[in-house]
Amino acid sequence: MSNLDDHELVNRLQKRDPQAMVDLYDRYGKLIFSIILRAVRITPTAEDLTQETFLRVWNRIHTFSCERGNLQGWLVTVARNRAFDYLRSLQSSASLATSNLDDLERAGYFYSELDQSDRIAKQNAVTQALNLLPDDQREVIHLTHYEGMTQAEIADKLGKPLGTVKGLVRGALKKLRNAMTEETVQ
Amino acid sequence: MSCDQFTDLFELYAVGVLEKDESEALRLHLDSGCDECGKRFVQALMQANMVSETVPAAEPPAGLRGRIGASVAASPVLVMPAPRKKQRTTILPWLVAAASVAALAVGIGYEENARRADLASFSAALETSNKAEAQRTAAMLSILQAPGTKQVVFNINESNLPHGSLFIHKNLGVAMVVSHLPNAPAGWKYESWIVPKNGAPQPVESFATDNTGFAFTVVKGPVDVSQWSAVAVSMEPLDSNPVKPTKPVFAAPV
Repeated sequence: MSNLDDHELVNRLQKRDPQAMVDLYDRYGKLIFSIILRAVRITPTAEDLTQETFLRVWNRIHTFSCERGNLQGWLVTVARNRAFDYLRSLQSSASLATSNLDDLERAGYFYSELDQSDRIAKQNAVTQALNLLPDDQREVIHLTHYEGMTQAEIADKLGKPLGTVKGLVRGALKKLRNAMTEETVQ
Repeated sequence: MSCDQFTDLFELYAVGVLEKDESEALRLHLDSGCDECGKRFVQALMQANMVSETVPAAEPPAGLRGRIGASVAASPVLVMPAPRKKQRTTILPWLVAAASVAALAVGIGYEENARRADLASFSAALETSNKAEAQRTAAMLSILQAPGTKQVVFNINESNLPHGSLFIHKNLGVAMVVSHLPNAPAGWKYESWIVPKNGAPQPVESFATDNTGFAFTVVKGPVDVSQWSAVAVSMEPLDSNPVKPTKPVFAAPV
């Protein structure tokens, strides 16, 4: 799908066209549901959070740039935050030791200077880099990015020293960063 | 912390899994307007999203498409989702809440982008709200936009608690804008209160949240907040006209 399609879709959403919401779901619903289900693992909960994600975007679409906004990125961020926020609500005080998720959803962060082909190229590079990670590095990235766990929580879950986990995360993120910037993947 | 010290933190911050002290340091640095780190954060956010997009695909339930479509068809602005089975209700005694937010209230100042975004959302709501609600929204907008309005944030670093801002204008009044306020349970509503330094709390108005936990309440001016200790929120039985708070939820010190 092209950025041009998204521009038109955002334009219709900003005009409060309910059919645009259905079209938005048709375009991104499966991705959003998949991200949320991977985190919360309970289908009815994932269903509710997916609906909440789309309604949050609907209610805030006027803050979004029709011309330059990266709609998919915004939706993915909102979805991930809804899922992680839900998981934190199930936990105790440890969950409070993390950042404010709302801060990450400001529409202004999703201005894209990439055209669609560049974005696909970077997506492929990140996917490839992720697949090439050693198992232990890929596991910690899955736990942070798919399940919203802090490094301390990962250390506790895996029974590894915190320093070891931080080293794994740092190494993995460096490889992903290099892939994003089209440097040599180590 | 210098820019270099944030190098390995952007991605974890973008996913929201950075420990609180590091997260706060990075947030303050980004809010300070560092262009280079701002670009690195946006890049990290894009990278985080690309990793999230590699999750194995799952098929959504067949009814979800219709449910989402129906939820916006009836009411085009500020729609409410179906309630989840688990209500994330946070009820704290006012004194505890006031003590915790007092340390976090950082005085005047907020991000202009967030304020503009709020104004855009409020303007959209204003277009289609009913007349009374439109008047209420207009009163809130006039306070936010007026020269001389001061802003005091509360609970801004507590993502799991109601947090937001008080906008104070001595002639126009006080607008409280709050996020992460759980939907009131069935049969209950939210009520705002002025808590004077001396004397009993005075009820202001009833209000409701949208599906995102966003809400606002307006104390019409003129006001003398030097005589107040806080603006507070309680839950009250739906059909009541409360004279004293039934279930305190939080208080925002002025």
